[in-house]
Amino acid sequence: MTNLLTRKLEAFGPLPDADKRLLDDVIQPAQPVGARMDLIREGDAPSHVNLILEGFACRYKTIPDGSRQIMAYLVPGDFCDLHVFILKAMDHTIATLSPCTVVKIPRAQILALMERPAIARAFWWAALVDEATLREWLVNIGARPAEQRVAHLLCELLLRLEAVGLTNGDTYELPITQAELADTTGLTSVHVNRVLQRLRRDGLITLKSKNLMIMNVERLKAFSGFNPNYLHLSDRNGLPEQSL
Amino acid sequence: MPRFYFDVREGTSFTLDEEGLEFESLDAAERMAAEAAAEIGQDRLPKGDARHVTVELKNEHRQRVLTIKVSMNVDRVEPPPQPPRW
Repeated sequence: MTNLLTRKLEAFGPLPDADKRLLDDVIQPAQPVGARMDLIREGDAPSHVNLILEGFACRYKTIPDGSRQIMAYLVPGDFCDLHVFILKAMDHTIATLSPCTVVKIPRAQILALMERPAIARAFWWAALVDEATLREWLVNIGARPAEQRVAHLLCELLLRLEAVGLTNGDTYELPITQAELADTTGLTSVHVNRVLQRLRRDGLITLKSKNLMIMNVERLKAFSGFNPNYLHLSDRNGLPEQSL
Repeated sequence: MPRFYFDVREGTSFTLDEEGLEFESLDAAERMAAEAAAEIGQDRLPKGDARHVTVELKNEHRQRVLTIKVSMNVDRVEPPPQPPRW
């Protein structure tokens, strides 16, 4: 089985073989977690780092009226929180969206990995990319109209999933509901439904039983003003589409 | 929980809700319809390509139970007022 953590980190740069062997030890034992389960809650003091190997998870916060804002999607190869051994308590909740496979990496093991210079740099890169992605989501919600907002997110997921080998051409599995997309984009689910149908009608996407196909990636990128620079994928950055 | 469908009209365009959403009551579904109408209106009406956004709320048998309409009217003063003379 491909180690998706290694694959993700190598999007930053190649890792020495010894480091890759260490990362192979890290991704087990993996455990299945059902959909819509909290992995760690706001206020919890974490003792380990969650790593997603399969499925979609998210970071979210709820406000007293019950509204929820999803601030990040975590896809295979993504750490849920690398900073847990620096910060004492979680300031947000992490939950699965779809059924997931998750590895709980003990704090000591993360610290040991940080002793490896190439891995430490790659972890740092991953944390910076998470921050850059959060900035882009802020721009998305604050500045883009609804259709572009959703289209932008779909472009981002194509690149992120492609980086870990989870796309099939321009098709990928999007195992989330319209209500979850709504909580992500700051729209009502009725509006998300309208937007998805609009994108479908304009020949930009098709979405059948959680399988999203982007009909014309360049057109969807142009439509949503998508610039992949914030994902900092070294070989892909700013370059035209190329096959892996 | 009963399922409700939210069909959206804006100008000449119509979006049929194929999946629907579950709500505990008609009141809760109405709140969602109102929020959606206001939100879609905010997105579309200032662009001027539609003057009305309508959300038609339908029950599980696809019968219409209520309609919410959001409109924007822009009235320019014609003829334009003359600059004051003093």
